[in-house]
Amino acid sequence: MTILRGRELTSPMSTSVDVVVIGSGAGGAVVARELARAGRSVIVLEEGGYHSPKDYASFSPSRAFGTLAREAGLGLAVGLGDTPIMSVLAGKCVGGSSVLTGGVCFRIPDEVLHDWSTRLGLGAMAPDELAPYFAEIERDMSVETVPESMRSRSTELFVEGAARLGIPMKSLRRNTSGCKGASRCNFGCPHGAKMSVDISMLPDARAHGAVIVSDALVEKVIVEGGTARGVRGRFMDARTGEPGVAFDVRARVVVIACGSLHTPILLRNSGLGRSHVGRHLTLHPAFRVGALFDERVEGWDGAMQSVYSDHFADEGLTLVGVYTAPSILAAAFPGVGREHRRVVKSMPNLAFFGAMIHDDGNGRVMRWLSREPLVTYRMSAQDRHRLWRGVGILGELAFAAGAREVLLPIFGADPIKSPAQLRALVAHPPSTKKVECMSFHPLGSAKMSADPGDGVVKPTGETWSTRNLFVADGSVLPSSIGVNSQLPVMAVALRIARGIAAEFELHGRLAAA
Amino acid sequence: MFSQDGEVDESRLDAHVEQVDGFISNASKQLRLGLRLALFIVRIAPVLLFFRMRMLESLSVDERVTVLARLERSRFAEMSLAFIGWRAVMTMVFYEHPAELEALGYASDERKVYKRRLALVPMAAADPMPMQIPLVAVAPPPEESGVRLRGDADEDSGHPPAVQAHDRDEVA
Repeated sequence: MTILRGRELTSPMSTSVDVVVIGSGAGGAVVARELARAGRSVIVLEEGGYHSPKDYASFSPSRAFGTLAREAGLGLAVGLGDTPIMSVLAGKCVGGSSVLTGGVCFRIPDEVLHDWSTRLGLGAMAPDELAPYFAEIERDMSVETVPESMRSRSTELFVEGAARLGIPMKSLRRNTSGCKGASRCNFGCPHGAKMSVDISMLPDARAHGAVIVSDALVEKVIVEGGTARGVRGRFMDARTGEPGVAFDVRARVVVIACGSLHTPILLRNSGLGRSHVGRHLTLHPAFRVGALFDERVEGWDGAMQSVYSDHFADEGLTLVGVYTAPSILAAAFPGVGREHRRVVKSMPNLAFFGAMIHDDGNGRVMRWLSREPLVTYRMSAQDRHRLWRGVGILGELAFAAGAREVLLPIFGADPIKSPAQLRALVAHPPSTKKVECMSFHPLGSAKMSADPGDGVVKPTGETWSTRNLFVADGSVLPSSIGVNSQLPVMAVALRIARGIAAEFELHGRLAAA
Repeated sequence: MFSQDGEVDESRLDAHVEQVDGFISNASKQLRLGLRLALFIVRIAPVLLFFRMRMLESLSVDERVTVLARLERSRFAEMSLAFIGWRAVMTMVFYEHPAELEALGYASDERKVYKRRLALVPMAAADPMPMQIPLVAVAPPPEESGVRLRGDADEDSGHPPAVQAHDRDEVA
């Protein structure tokens, strides 16, 4: 894919287009492709760099995080009250977080859409309204069921343990084509088999005339007379990595798709900080337990994620089989010195089982000392209950599968050696602050609402405060969805893009006024 | 952390420090500041935990291990995190080394078990042409939109229980 690398530009740039899209992740890529297909001149501005699957193959996990992820993959949500500090993974590269996901695809559950369309008054988000958009994205992104032959031994043990407890498991769907089961999805697919948007959507947008610019940091949306007129920013300097040469892009429509962590920051930096901007963040807190078996598991041999269970969905929990690079797993192992090394050396015999919470908690994204935001999150009492319930279920499942020891996601905890020990711990859990938690789906920080007083954007994706300024990423989702967010973000972005295309003449007249 | 028994070459540990430094340099100033603060807490852990007026690096290896193990289990989660954060970063980089991965049996992109399983998928006997084994199955349209969430809709309210949970929070 041919793109313009901002880091190689040495003189200021000024240009005019129909649509400027800020961010090239799941939301921005869909909008760019759709509007380019509709015959509009489109420019996509991405803060991160561009890398090909060949590059991904050469990256070690730490190099991949350092190159492709925000904060080198060390981003955090600070826990308020009895809430753990959570690592939050988000992409900063052409393709955004879609480059770093496991590729898992779920539609937004009907119950959630029913809630949005009835309680929140967002009729356009009803299940039947969104279904065609989901179907279209699934087709374009090659969403397919992970075959059983792709399951790792770790996943098979997860399924075996679940079967013994009467917990049904289902095969996941992912956006892949020709997956070789390298279990490296989180670091950019080395085979180009994961249909992240840099592989699927952006080349199509490019083919329809869209210009994609990497290393281009947008600092401000230009607003005149209540209407968005373009954006202003600076290219990242190749040598220092800091913003350098300035650019400005005039556009009839501005679409922000920087993700839930940066869309609120850009809105606030542009003087568009309504009271809901940066609030209502949901994170889907996720955790995993390690299960030590007598047999050699070598869980890295197979798809990173291939099964899930919604058996405990009533309780706000989704169980997910998961594995990743050995060095990443080792990073969370307990112990010091030879004790830590002993656990690492047992890794070939370890399986990992994960779970994710459909959270009621509430987070916030704020500007702070640098370009990266300060993210805070307060877990609700229900979510804490769900967390310990999930730890208990995963532990029981591990013992049912024949595990000799279970490593819990609790800092400094000794391995658990019997179900009785596990039950005793879950009955009287330690502070939730001591739990190792992760988030891969920050959502909802510029939420959609039917009323200007309740959110940041209209059901069309246009901001309530500014004409011709749209948001099309995970930040518009009005509540936690309880499932992986890539497909939902893309479907909602497609709907927003279609709306922009349909009303483009009107937007153009407003821009000209 | 990695060489309590001296089994790792010193030059490799030096290189490791450089690699960690290079990795962290990709993070923002505020995160690096946080890591510096965390490192300071780790360094003064002997003072905080054992009231010994010495920095961590001035202790013997075994004493350091004792201090760090105590830090990991501290009842103050923030203090534990200072060490756990650094351990995570250093461990992630350390175990990327090819020698460490080889010792674990990790064979990079070489998918042994997966390929063996593919070979066991039976061919269609009646098919005169050798059939390509499908690596993937085309996903049928889902019968449901995603995971089933929190039970069926409540008959009285018409809303799923998830809605009630939100409402309860708001009332509270």
